[in-house]
Formats: sequence, structure tokens, C-alpha cells
Amino acid sequence: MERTEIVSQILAILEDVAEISPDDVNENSVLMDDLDLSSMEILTVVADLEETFGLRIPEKELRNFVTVSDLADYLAAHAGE
Amino acid sequence: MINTVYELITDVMAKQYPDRVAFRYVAADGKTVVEKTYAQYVQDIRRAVTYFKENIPDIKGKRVGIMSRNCYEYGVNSFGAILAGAVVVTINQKKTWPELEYELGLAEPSLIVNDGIDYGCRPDIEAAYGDKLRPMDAFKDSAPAELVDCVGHDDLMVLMFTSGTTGRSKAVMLSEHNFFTTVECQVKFGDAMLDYKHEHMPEDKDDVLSNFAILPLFHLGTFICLFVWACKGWALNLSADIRDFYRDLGLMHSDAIAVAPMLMEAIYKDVKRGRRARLNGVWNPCGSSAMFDGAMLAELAQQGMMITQVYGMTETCGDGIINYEQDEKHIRAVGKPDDHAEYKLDETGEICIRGGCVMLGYYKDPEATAEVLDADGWFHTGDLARVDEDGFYYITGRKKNIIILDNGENVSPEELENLLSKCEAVKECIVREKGKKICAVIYCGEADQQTVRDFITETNRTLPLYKRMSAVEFSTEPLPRTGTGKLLRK
Repeated sequence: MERTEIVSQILAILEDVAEISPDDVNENSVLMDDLDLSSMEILTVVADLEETFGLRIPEKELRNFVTVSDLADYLAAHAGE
Repeated sequence: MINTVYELITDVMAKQYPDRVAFRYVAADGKTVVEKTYAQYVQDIRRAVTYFKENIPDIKGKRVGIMSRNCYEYGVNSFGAILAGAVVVTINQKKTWPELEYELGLAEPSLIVNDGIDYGCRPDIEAAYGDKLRPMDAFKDSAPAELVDCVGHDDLMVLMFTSGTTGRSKAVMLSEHNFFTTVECQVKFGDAMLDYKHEHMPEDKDDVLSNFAILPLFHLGTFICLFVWACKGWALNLSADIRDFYRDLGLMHSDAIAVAPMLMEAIYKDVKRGRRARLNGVWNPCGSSAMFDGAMLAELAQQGMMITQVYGMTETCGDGIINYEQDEKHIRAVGKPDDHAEYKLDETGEICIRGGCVMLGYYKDPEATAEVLDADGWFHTGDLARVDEDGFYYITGRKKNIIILDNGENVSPEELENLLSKCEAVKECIVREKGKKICAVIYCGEADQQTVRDFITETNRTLPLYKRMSAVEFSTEPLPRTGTGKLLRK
């Protein structure tokens, strides 16, 4: 999957989970700071991404997700494995 | 009234409710719900007793660590270790290695049953404790033991860690007496749940309730449910990962759910946004952090949810005050003391509790114990409260220097400040709560601000989600200090 497509999936899920307009998000947005997501919301986003991309992200990877770009990098590397 | 672990297992689980469901959980396929009856549970507890006795020589008083996400075997190992004569030590598997190293070093477990998952520092754990690690189902091939009541009622039975104010956690020592004091109070609450249900949902005739347990079992608030729900012959629906909240709740209808504020808010948003269906009929969110928004709670009550608030802490074995008043005036209160324990507000407004629920002390730390337990047996909670004209208590703040987060986790500011001080550009820093975030306040040169920001972002990558510093404030002047030269925190 193209990276731009992955990012747009992330934006769609962010909009659904946390009602954040895609216009307010870019790849460098920090999930907890810029987007003001709670840890619950981040994990709900992760769960929705896992379902969308058909994968399960290992526990220890979770703490690496600080920005939108971190999520996109992981999914680009692992989706469709 | 049931008063011992032995009675709970041999009388209540084995004889009163053997065919009732004790646990449900979603299998690894993510679709199938597995059920375990109390009869199966008792049999496995008996196997675990044999396993621990055979594998820990001279077991009386030795420590068994449990380091796992929520699962059926958590209950089996807890009661198995207790009835083998050991002390159960619950460990937060998601902590960083320095924290785990300290806690395990303090507890000196003879064995550690664990889920084997790498939460970030598995290699360190294996290097240091490899010979003591056992899988959660290690008991499965052992023969069921004949149970005997070997628990001294006032002896140390469970060790649980709580955040200390110096950045090091403290191990709270709890006895069987402590647990069953709390159990008695919470079992009464179970009756109140049934009263509510009969009044508001008369068409539903099923009085065997279930509790969705997604908050971690290493916390007292969830761990105590292993006792309380079993007393009723009710079920715990276990969820191992907050990521699976909606999936698991959707697969396992639950009546009650213990919630941290972030879960209460998630439930509230679902109700507001017309997504209540995915909560699958849950009607009793039970919160225990005392700082909820009253209007939100009142609205949920109007929407047909029974709102419960429990004020308690690890040091009081989860006991304290419980509130299930649904009227708008009192819904935000933590409740009204009853006579099962003694309560007072001292001259500073701090809540003090005395009674059977109060811990034995902090493990190997008499000094810290003396700071909170006075000579007359009063436990000083560190929480400040006011009392209204009807006798209801409201938490107004904290005396102790601890940040209690939206997800219910406690964080010591000093621990984060120590991490920040490793950045050379940081001249002074304090960490405090701001809004619902952890905020780092930094004194550094203006030109260094970006360096510090980057340092914080990188530091956050090493921390569990809940501990991350998500707000930063900069000061170009030294931070204000108290008269005695300490950095001012407020």
C-alpha cells in the first residue's frame, strides 16, 4: 500500500475516534501533544488500524508511536506481511 | 459472612456455585468466548497449590510474583499461591526495567509466573530472573491438592506496589483481614446493584451479574474483584488489552465495568454520539479516581446508567467510601462514610481512616510506614476533602506530591524530573499536572528550547504511554522556590 494511502487511513480513523479534522493533522503531529489524544484514544486508533490492515502490533512497539509518522512508518513496513 | 480465602474457595466456589461461570475471556482467535466455571477454577487452584508447594521448598511466607496481563490463570495462581502458604506479589508488567529491577529486588520472589510477552524489557528480565520465570499455566499438569487453611488472618498475604513520593515505588503489605474487610463492604454494594437493576430493568430476570475487568489485575481495584465477585458467584469478563476494549465488550455482555476516567469519558462519548450499542448493555460504570466531572456523571445517570464511585487506595485495600447516590447533588461525591471503618478529617482537611482495611505497612520500609500510619492506628491518606451538609465527602486535592492521571495510574514527578535532568540544556525543571496532562516546566536558555523539546520527545519514547510528558512550558528565568529553597510545585 502506498504511504499516502496509509496516512489517509490514519487520518480517517483519527477523525472517527477523536473527531479531529484531517485538515488539522500532518505527519509530524504528535499524538498526545498536538492532537491532544488520551492514551485510550491512541489505543483505540491502534486497534482500528490493526483491524483495517489485518495485523497485530507487538506490545513493545506501542511505545514507539509518538507521531502520526511513526504509525505510518510501522504500517508501511509491516502491512501485508 | 465469608471471612477467609479458604472458605471462599471451599464453601462458596466449590459448594455454592460450582456450575456458575467464574470467568469469560476471548480466545486467541479474537472471536470465541471461553467460559470457566467455579468448579473448574477450584480444581485449577488446587493444582496450583500443588505446583507451588512442589517447586518452592519451605514455601511459608515466600513470595510468588505474578507478572501478567489479565487472564484466567491470574486468579488461579493468586489463590493457589496463597493457599500454598506463599505471599502473592502483583507486578505491573509494563513498567520499565529500572522500576522492575527495583521492585523485584525488594520482593525477592522465589518464582515469577508471567505471560512471556515482551513489553519492552523482556531481555533484562530473562537475564536477571530467567531461572525463576514460569508460564502462567505452569500448574496445569500438577495433581489437585487437598486444601488446608494455612493463612494467618493478620499475616502478610499480598504485596502490591504503589507510587512513592521519592520516585521509588513502595510495596503495600496486605493481610487476609484487610481483604475481607473490603470484601464485606463491596458485597453489600453488589446487593445495591441488584436493587437498581430490579427497579430500572424489571424485564431482565437474570440476577447473576458480570463485571468487565479491563483495568489491570495487578491493581487492587481489579484484584479485589477476584474476591468480591466470587462471593456472589458472579462472573468476571476479562479483557487483556485496552486495545480490545470494544471487541471484548461486544463479545461479552457485562453489567458492571470498573473504569478509570479515560474509560468513563469514552463511555460518555459513545452515549453522546449515538454509539451506545457497542457498549453491549453495560449499565454500571464504577469509577475510583474521585475527580470526575459531575455534569458528565449526572448525564450518564439520566441516560440509565448506575454511576458508582469508590474512594479507596492500595493502602486501605481498596476500601474507603463508596457512593451510589444518583441525584445530581451528590453524584460527584465519593460517598458518605458508614460505620464499617472510622473516618475523620484532620486539622489540614486530610482524610484519615482507621479500621480493618488499613494495611500492615510498607514492606521493609518502617520510615515510610510511620509517615502515614500514626500511633493511634489512623492512616493518613494524603487526600484532602470537604464534607457537605448531608455528610458526603468530596475530594478537593492532594497533599502528597503524586500526579494521578486520567487512566488512574499514579506517577511520581520526581521520577520524570530525574530523567529530564539528564539533558544538559535543562537548568531546572519540575513536572506537574496541567489540565489532564503531565506538564514539564523547564528553565533553560531560549536557544536551547528546541533541544529540550527534542529530548522530551525522545524520553517519551522510552516511557509507557501513560507516563509521557505531553505538555511543555519554558521559563527563561529560574523557577520559583519555597522559603526553604525547594522548587515550588504549584
